[in-house]
Amino acid sequence: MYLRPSSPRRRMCSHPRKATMARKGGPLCVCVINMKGGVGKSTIAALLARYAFRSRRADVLAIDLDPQANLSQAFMRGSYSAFLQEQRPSIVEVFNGYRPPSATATAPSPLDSEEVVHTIYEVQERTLQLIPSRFDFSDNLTAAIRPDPKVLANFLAHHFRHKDLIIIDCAPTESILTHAAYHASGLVLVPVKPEFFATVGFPLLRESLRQFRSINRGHRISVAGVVINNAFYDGGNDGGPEKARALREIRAEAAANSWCVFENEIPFSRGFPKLMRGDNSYSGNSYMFYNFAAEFFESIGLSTAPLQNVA
Amino acid sequence: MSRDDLLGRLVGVLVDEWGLARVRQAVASLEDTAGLASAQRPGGARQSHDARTRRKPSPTDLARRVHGPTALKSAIEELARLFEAKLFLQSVGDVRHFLEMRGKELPASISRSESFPKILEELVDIPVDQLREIARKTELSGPSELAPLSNAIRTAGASLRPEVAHESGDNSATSEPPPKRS
Repeated sequence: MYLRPSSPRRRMCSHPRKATMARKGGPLCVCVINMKGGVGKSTIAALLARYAFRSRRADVLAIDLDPQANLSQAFMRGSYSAFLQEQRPSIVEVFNGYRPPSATATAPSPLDSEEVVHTIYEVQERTLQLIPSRFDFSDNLTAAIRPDPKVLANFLAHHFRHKDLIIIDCAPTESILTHAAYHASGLVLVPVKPEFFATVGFPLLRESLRQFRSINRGHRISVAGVVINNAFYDGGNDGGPEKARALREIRAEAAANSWCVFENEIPFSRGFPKLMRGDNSYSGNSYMFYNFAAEFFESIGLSTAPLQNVA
Repeated sequence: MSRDDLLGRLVGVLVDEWGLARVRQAVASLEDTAGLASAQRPGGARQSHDARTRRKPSPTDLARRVHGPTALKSAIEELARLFEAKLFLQSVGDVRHFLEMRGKELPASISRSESFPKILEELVDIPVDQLREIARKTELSGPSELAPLSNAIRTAGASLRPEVAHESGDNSATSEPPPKRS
């Protein structure tokens, strides 16, 4: 087992990316993935997208690749119910490649990229947009004769090169959706919680990436880093010996895979579930998330723009 | 220390922190929102009392003062009305979030009712069609709730997965097992 000379806990994750807003090489594409559910992928994807739009002044596209559609519900809130009932285009239609006949159109029609994105925030020429998911997403792929995992990458390459950041929330179990995310991404962000079952996701992800790389040798995809979620209770109990043991195992496994661990960890916060519901009445210590967000975006080269103070 | 000395010290702190120009801007903005533009300077105690008892302009009052095309004024007045009815940006947290997503910050000391001038500064820069969309979506903009979502999933499921048995025991269930979800 090779261990890097410096402690992974202290080493900053950095990648050789040019930090400019007008991206010559196209958008930064990050998939947020762990083969274990419940580690905070959707929450982290949502908050990173918001932070990039707000504080980095980035033009952002978020993609929900999880049939559970938590990212979609977090961004669309009450609009999501209307979206379902009206059967508006979603990631399902992206993979199908067309809009099916509907109440207003009796024949299939080409899919317009503007129809499938939902604009969540818009400030001048920048937007935070979402391609939402739907709960029947996996049915569609299961029923397809030969589902093509490259469809999403192709769609993004043709329609979203102008974006600064594309962030993909992935489903937890390995499937064609995982490979679709890999094909569409150059970077992988791995959230993990310091609990034994969450750490089991690491070797599964390692094998998944290894298999993908062996089949797709022309595709460069690297792990941007590991972020530890629910790492500590700010000002309170730190989880005891079991949590400490899990943290040691996470760092050892990350080092074995040559994955860096972000220095800033995400605390437990009662504010996160509220923010994901769209309740801004109490955020608690969830602001500490932005320490990680700043480190993450510095490491992948998304440039900084300061907030303006109103008063 | 006299009241005038105290006033001088307090203003000095503001000037040190923000600079004279910003403090003057803030006072001018306060004059507009508190309706003190017609009050004479320097004010005596009686005039200060009159200023305090004078009604502060409401959000719709402020919206009516906006200069611009009719469509813009109409859209902003609609949002002002919704703000007064607590249908638009229902909490101070929502106001803070709205401003933060536009790259601005709201001081912690400002209440929701005091925040509308800051909101208005943003609204005047938003295109009319976006303002109308914001107004249209206000009823859907609050925190998510499970019941409406559950109903929407049930309704959509009936059309998207007609072969799947409904968990509520609907008689339209077939003998085929539901497809596996990833």
